[in-house]
Amino acid sequence: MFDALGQSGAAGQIGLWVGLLTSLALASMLLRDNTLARLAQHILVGAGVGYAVVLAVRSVLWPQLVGPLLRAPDASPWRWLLAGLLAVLLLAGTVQIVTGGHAPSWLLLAGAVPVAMVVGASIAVAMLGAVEGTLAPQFLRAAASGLVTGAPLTVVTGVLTLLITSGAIIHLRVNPDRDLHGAPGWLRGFVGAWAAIGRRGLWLAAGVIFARLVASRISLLAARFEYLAAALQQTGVWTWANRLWEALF
Amino acid sequence: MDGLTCPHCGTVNPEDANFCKKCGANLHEDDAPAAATPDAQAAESRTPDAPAAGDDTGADASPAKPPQPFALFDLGLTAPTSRPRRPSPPAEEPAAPAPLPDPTPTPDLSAQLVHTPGLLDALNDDQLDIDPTAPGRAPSSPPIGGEQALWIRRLFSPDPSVADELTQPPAWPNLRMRWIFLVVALAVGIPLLFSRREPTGTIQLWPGVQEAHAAVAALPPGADVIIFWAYDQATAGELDLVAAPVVEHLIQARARVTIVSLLPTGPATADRLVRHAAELVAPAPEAQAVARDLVARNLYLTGGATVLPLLTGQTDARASLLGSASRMELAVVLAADAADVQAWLELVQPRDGTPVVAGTSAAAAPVLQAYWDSGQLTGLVSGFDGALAYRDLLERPYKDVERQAAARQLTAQNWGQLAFLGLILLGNLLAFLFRSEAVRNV
Amino acid sequence: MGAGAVLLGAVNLAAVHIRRVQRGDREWSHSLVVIGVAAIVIAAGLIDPAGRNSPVLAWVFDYVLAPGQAMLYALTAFFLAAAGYRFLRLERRGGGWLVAGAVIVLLTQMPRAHALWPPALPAVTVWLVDAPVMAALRGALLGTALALLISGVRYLFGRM
Repeated sequence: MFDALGQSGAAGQIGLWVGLLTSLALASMLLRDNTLARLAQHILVGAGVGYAVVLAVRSVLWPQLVGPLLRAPDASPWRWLLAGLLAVLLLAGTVQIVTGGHAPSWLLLAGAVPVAMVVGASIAVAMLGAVEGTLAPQFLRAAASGLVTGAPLTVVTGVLTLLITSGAIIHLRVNPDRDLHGAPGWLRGFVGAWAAIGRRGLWLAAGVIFARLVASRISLLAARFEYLAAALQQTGVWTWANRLWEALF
Repeated sequence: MDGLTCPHCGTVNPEDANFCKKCGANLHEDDAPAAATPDAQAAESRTPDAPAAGDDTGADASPAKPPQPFALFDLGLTAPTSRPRRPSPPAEEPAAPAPLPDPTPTPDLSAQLVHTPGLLDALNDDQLDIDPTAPGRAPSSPPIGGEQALWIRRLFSPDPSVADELTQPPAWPNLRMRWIFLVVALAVGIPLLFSRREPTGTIQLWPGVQEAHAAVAALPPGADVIIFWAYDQATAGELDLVAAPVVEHLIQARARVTIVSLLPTGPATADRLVRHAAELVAPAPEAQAVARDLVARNLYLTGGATVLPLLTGQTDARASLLGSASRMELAVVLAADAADVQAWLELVQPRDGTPVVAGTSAAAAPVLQAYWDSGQLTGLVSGFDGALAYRDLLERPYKDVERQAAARQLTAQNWGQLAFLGLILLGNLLAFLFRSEAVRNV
Repeated sequence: MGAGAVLLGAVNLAAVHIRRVQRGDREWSHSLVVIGVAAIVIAAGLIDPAGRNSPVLAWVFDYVLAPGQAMLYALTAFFLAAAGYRFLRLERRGGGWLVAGAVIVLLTQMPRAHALWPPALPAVTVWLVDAPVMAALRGALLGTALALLISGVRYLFGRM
């Protein structure tokens, strides 16, 4: 939002035009697919990847791995292990990419070690986090919501909350045809009705999310219109257009 | 004939295609087991006379079959087909639980009429006996969803025919996309040109804003605060609105902030926002010093959410990453996506117990409401309304430039949301009139 | 390891686009642009001792990445409007609930319209978001967490 439109000098002026043209080229996609829009997308991808690589090297690899190893090679042996794994990962990945998926099997096996470590750690962390941060606290809170006392509205809200939460879980996780196969009809009907309550809650929630998404995207669009207006003024296009308008009409 | 024939519209596609280039339908959907979903099972059980999925001799496989809509989305006004109607249940059959809805396309008119649950799932199409081939039936509407699928796939597809399909205008009652785009552009763009200098209107106060303000206000001078910067320039148009008053409040509270981001452009986005917030509270020459005093570190971390647990505890890894092992008094998560706040609440907060204030996109707020309700979030500021509500709580009077920006934001929201409401109502009105006409002619 | 993944991603992107240029695929010149722009940015960022604060990187961020990314995201407003027109229909399954939720919140969060509604509407909307909607989304969160847990256990034990 706070684009550096105020920068002066030739670089700033060129930048203004580049930003303006890139934005307009991307926006032209709304009218129809065109080569300019695709060119702008490719420029964006190239710049984004280049930026990410520089950040990865200059902000992570160098200060946290290579720099410390060069400064004090004996200080932290674990960094050598990390560097070794990273080298193997990069070598195996690059050979695999360059050869079109025909890297030697021993190299792939070696490269699989760091990948397995990363994947294993990610899954373990995600599972632990899901239990600690969502399952346990949300389950406890949901259970407590049905046990409130006080004003009738509070009680009704609490019970409704519990009903909808459990209904949504049933709707998402229980398949009456599979999980209740052979169960009495009344049980299937009961579970179906419970799930139906949860389903309606989810539909309502989807509507609310849509409305909030609208507010969010209008903010983004308004910010872009403001950017375009500012860029048009600073590049002088606005003035030219005004003069043209006055000359014509 | 070479190529894959679309099971929905009969178009012949290249052998290696996954989706139909005309209607966007999944060309391999018949490969999936018929009982892959409960709804599919239910649908199958209720249509014993319909051709089985994957049956090459059935109508589904015939290229001559009339166009059918994109199965994933279309349940609306569609063309009738020769799909067999369902038999009525015998009168003596005991009342069964409400049947599960049919996820398959329901293109005949009776299905259109009865798949109108709205607030109630009262009817099912077995109760009506309307001949879908009767004159005056609903004319075909284009494959709803197919066009969107094509828009998306076109970005990645080198096949020019995919792009060409988009040039064909859809039939009534679907407006051409460009008209919808024009309405939105005019609704947001034109009022911005004529917006007032003073903000007008009332903003909705959502729960969590005052609590977020109170959490920052309660910080002692010099308190260590960590900001998880989970947005970049893509969503800065909205998130900067939210982040600016929170960061300004942290400046006022004389906090020392460590910024971490998992996005490559996160630190640069943070730099610019902090500079902007500092310029709001201090004259230009001093703003740089103010920003420097606020931000102790501004870091980009690779590895995605997996790296977040390293930010907790009194460990060497944390000290190495953050340059300090001291405990944080408050965590502020500025995120465009609810998943980033969720990641922090799952991977960091249970370990260090630091109170968390979230500043998010408006769209993320409903999902995060559960965490606010459970007390895992100390405060929640979301969207333009949350941002303006937080800004109102700051003691500093509005500057002219801020007042005008707020006025523009409110104007854009007013007219933009009005346009959205109008489009939703228009869509429903047209669908209603269109259907009423069809019903009268049956 | 994360930084390694970023580097491998860049190598993969380069390999894909170099092949496209070699084969002379449709719009191969665009692939050349991707490689060229990425190479320039990487060279400028790595050569400049200022690193992340290099003026070239700042220029790329301010004048290419920021406006481009923001414009791409802003365009989603248009597609959202088209989706609203086409999909938020009462006749669809669950459409009544969807439209009701969307319209109530839209009416409440429109600043100018806020004063036109009865004072109860904002309170009702907050209750709606705070109770039934929150409850349903909590159910979705719990369901997702359960699914993640089950999938994770299966994956770790090699029983996909």
